[in-house]
Amino acid sequence: MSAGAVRLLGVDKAYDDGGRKHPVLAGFELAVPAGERVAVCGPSGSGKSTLLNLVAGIVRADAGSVRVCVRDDNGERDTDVHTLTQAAAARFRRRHIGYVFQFFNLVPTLTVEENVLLPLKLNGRMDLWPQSLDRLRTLKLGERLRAFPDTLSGGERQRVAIARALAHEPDVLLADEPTGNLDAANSALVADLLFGEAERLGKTLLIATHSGSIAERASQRIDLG
Amino acid sequence: MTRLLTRSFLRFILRAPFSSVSVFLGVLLGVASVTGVHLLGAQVNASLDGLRPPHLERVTHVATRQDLDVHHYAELARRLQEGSLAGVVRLAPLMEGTLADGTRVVATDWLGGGAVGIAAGVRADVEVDLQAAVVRGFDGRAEVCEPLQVSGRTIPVIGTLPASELTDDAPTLFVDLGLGTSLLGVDQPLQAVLLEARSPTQQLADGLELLMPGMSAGLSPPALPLGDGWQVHDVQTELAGFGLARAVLFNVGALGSLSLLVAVLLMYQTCVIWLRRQRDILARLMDIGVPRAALAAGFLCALLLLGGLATAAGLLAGQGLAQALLAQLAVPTASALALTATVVIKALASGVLVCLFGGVVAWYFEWRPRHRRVRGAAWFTALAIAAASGWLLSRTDGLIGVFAVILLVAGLVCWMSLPLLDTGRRFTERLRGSLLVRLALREATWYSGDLALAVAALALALGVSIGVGLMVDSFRREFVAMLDTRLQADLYVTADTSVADAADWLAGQPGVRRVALYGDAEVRVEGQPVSVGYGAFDAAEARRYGYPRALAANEVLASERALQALQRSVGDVATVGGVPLTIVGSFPGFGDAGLRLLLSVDGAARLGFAIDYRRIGIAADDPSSLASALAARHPTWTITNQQIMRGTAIRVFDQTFLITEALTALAMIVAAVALFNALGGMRLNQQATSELLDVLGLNRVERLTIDFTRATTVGTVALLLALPLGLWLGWVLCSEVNPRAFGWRIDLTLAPAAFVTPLVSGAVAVLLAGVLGVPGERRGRLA
Repeated sequence: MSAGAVRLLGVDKAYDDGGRKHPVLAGFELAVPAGERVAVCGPSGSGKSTLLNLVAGIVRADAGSVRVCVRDDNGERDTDVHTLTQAAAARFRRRHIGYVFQFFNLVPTLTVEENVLLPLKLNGRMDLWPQSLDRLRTLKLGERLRAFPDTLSGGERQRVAIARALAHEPDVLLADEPTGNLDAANSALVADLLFGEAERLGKTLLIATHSGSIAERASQRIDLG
Repeated sequence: MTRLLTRSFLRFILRAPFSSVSVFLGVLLGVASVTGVHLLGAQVNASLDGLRPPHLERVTHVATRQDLDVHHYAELARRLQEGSLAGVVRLAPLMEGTLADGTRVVATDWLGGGAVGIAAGVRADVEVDLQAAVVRGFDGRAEVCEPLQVSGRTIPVIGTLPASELTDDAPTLFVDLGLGTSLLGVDQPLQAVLLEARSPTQQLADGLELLMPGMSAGLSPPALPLGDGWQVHDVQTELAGFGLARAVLFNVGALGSLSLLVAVLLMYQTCVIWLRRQRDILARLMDIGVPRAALAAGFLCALLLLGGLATAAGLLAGQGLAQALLAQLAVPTASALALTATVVIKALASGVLVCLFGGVVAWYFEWRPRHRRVRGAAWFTALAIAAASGWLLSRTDGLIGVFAVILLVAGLVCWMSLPLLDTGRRFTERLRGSLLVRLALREATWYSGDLALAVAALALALGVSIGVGLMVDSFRREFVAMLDTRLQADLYVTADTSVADAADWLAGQPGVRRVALYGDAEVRVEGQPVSVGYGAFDAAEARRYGYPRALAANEVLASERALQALQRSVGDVATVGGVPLTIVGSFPGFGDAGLRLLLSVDGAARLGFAIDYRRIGIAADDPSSLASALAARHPTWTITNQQIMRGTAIRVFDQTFLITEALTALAMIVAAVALFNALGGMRLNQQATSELLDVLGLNRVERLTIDFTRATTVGTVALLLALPLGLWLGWVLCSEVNPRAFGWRIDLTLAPAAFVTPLVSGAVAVLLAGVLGVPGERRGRLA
């Protein structure tokens, strides 16, 4: 596998639902080559977010393995996210994952600039700040750098979230229904941005969506449920 | 509807177990503090009432005048009959004296209403005889109806009164004025006229006393003008120890209310958090037509149910607290303190007050139209309140006035927490440096509504702790300094008989450097009972009281209490027994409940005192051997080593302030719970941010940095409020409360030690509250 490749083998994941196990994924298999843009589709509760969270190491699989190929100072290597400790999973996410959510993407007490700076500071990659600043300007956010999230529109917030997710040049970009809360125009803008930047930077993109038009733009589509 | 909504709110509250437990604990401790202090006060009051001299039963005022005689009394009695003595319902003359054998005689007009308390001692099967006596303190020598031989006379006895274990009662005869004149001689003057007055102020004082034992000490005694020449004093002047004890009770009662005040803040803060979490649901319910009043009623009912349980537990905890404190203070108590109807009602009222006040105010502020806060107006209001406090402080002379000011300033400090946090917001928005620190600082200052009252609670508890600590520390320093100056001798001897004969023997003992003899006499100065100590007041002796020279025969040293009660200053003249004496110095009589004057033995002779030395101070090289030899010669004398006396005095001092420490500690605990609750609530409200940071890969240390910084910010804001409050409170306690309550002034010393305990415990509370996770904190998914 090369950096950005994701492979899930025989993954089981169930949630405890009032004492009863509610299976979400059972024996799930997935192979995403590096740089692929994958749309994860399915009805609510089918496990789209769970799949992304498994890849990010936020939740742990009950069985199977979740492997992500990442690039670090020592070159490329396969990481079995399933086996990482909590601290190691946090380090893994910090360095190799960029995540965009539907809501609550930004830290409300940090400005636009600070939200984008956060992953750079955490990773000690301030050398990437000029690119991030250029990206923010390209996204028409150059004038809003000192603004706090509560003064931004929904579309602006998602653009900042994408800028933050890409800032530290992660190996894998995860987007959980990023357009679910936006109007058509902003949805298109955000989708253009996600797919465009992922393609330009050669990053693997896993995007969970209900939107058929967004799914059509992906190079691979996975239907859950 | 209300029942349904109450059930719904209760379910919500029970699903937030941590904040529910916090509120339960806060109400419990607040009620326990108030109940405990009430029970303690009631017990001390009961003990005091047991010590009240019987002739002063129900007496409220004592009237005196120059050359008081029976004609003056008769004139007052006539005016009472005519109804021209407003508020006075009873009066009786008082004649006191001591017979040659040491028997004390207290004579009042039994037929004219002077036998109220004395009658309790008269046997039921005996007829009152104006030529007979009711006796006290004769140690079984007086059998009822068997005549008593006193100073060569036979006095029929018609009853006995129990002697008090706590007072040093001389054998006393309570007699009618006629027999008193016969025993003491026709020249014996009347000392005073005892008055029982009923006035609205008096009734208010009685009511307040029922509400909070000791509270009447906070009121200035009601004036009772009798006309030209009469000086009227509150009866407390006759019962100096009572006044002192009630003033202590008042102070303790006020301090006991602190936990309740902090509990109100805790309740308010928790209600704000609960209502914020329920706001959307409540808004929807209102949208579908549920009346806001019904929702409020349901919310308050749920609070009252929770508060009711906590109150019941607090009542029992208060009983235990009172029992423990009384045991520490060595106050005699019944095996179990009775939870009277008053105590139960007071506890219930306290619990309901906490729930309703916290709940109603939180509800009001949650639903009122939101305006941008005007910071300028906030600071202006703060200045206005501070100015009003200063004005009030300068205008009042009672304790209640001071405590009203303290409450006002404490309220101001609580209220200032919000504008201070808001000001912090502006500062943190421009802040540079670490992103995580910026984030934490902004969280602490942006969501001021979630934190302000908890910060206020902590500031209040910390401020009071610092203030009380400063006062106690300053007081202790002065007390120790007083002991160092006063306890110059190595041995102190007290005796029931004259010790003068031992002086020569002592002076001849090897290693004895100095022998000082002391005597005491009781006099009235301007109608007020004063204890006069006399001895050879040479320069060395005078220095013990801070006066550099030997006392001349016309010079006197006065205790601070005496100066205050007699309204004199150093340099003024006080007339004692018709002899003018110049007050050349004053001394702190810490712990001395009465008024005290000191003069030389020549001065005492000038006043006509029969010189009778009962105390000795001895400076010796080998005090232990001398004490043994002295004890062998005089087995009935009490001989105390200076070190033991000093140690006992300091131990009693520290014991006195145990209750203060316990009450401030209680308030600190409630404040810590409030802060823990508020920070926990804030973290729950910021859960989405927390999860976002989790996704961004923040490690444990970075999370702790945020929690630590947030907690430190909150602690710093609390400290910014607490420090000035504490310093100001320390000054008020030393310079206003102590002089008003006890008659002595304490110089405020800013000793670092007074800050250490509150600051360390505050810091620990803040850091634990900030860093420890809230049990049951839920993690949801972002999206």
